[in-house]
Amino acid sequence: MNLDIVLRNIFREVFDDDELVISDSTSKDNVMEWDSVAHVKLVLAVEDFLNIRFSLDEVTFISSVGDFKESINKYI
Amino acid sequence: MITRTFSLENQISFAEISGDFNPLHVDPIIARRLLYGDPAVHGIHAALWAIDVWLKKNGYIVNLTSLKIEFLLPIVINQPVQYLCVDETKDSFYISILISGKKAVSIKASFLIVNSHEKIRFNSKMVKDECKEVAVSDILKVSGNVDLNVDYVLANKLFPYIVNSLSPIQISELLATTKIVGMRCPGLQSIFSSLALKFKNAASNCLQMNYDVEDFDERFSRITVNILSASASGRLYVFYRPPYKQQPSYSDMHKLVARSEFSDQRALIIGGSRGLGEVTAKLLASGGAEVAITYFRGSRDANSIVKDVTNGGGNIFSINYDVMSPLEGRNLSIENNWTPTHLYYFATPFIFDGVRGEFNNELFNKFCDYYVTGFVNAIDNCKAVGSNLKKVYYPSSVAVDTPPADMIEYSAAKAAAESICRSFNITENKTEFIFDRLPRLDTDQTASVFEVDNNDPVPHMLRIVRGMSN
Repeated sequence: MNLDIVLRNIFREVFDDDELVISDSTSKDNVMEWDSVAHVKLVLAVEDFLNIRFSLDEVTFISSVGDFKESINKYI
Repeated sequence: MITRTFSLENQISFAEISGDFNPLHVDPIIARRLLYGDPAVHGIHAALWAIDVWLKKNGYIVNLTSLKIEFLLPIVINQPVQYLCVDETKDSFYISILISGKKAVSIKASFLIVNSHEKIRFNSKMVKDECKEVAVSDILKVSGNVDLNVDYVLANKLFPYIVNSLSPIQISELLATTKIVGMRCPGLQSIFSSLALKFKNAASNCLQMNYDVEDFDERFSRITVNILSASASGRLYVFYRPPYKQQPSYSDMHKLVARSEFSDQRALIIGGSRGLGEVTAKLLASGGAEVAITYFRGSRDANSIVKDVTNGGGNIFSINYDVMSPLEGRNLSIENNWTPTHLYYFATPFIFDGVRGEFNNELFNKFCDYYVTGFVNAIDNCKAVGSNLKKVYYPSSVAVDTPPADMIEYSAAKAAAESICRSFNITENKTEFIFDRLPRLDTDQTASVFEVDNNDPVPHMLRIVRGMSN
């Protein structure tokens, strides 16, 4: 499984943008649409796809694609 | 592009056909204190409209085989929405409802084309049930069933092409989902987030839909509800909606101030029926001030505050006042020649109406109407009733310092109001205009489905009313 591709597809789905390009530095600060609702959708979509469940601390900590990868790597 | 708005009348018709009378959708007075400031369109109502439009354009008679709907943005009454067909094939469609180009509802379905549908005579007449309120601690125990029903006459008015093209049992099942969420599970405090259903051909002799809670995700207050009926099965995803913010009572405030601390103030509080105005009114009355609160739509809330304060021995009355009405003929009508010495101005529209990163001129003008024009008119009205105002308080916001990306219009209008205060401090030599930039305080306006850092408004307002007495 290529985590970069998994996350890219999830981000494209959540933000409804088939052309979206992401990197580890893609974050709440540089994606205007990444608000609290989008954050929940991202978290739930990642959890659903990977069959994992982040702690509340991790949900709060995650604010970039790099953070997602760091948290995911604890579970897979 | 096909556009429409949903009126309150449309909403009530949909409540009658679905049985979902949740006040978030049909009661403008209660809804103004909830998340969106106005009644929100039932998500299923909006989705059925979009499906109706698609069926009209394609002319098929279909059986759905699967359906996934996501409610991404709230739609409120009288808000223009647009229909968009994103993609379609011979056995599927993907359609959306947009608000100003942003996707509000996403609907993905697969279907089989059929020749006709069996007409079903439904057994039950839709009755208006009690809107239940299930506590978080009880949510995992919730299960039950609702009757399936379609009022064909009403359905023909609301969704004529759906009535002709979709199986009656599937229409009834979609209507049942909103009743389950809005009235039963969790009922009153619900936000319908999404659904994913699969359908099969089945005998229509069991006209009920069963539901039970599969999961509650405490991190997001998100409930997963399983549903099962003769032809449909799947999940509904629902968020707990926060209740409207109840501010502390008069007796609570009484403990915080000395009995005659504010006895020098005859305070007029514009927008005093809830939120910061309510807190300010109770604090002032606790300290011996004579207080008048104004309300626009919230007479019930204003009466409740007057009763609470009066029963506690405070001196308060309420006045109906619309800061948006023209100046002519709407001077403040205050009995017994009561004139304020102090004015507090809290009138506001719903503040979270902006789109991240975009400036909406209409929204900016709306904020200016409330925060600038309404403010200036209130001062003029005080003068018109013979008031010599000593001090005027205007609540600005830290958003002026660092405007949030979705509050550009709000921040700019608040900044404009600050300029008015500064100017009046130069030109109005008998009145002092005080404003400060308040942080995000815990009121109806700042309530959120997701956890946010809201500050207790009481210490902030106490500091302010003390400053107004000095």
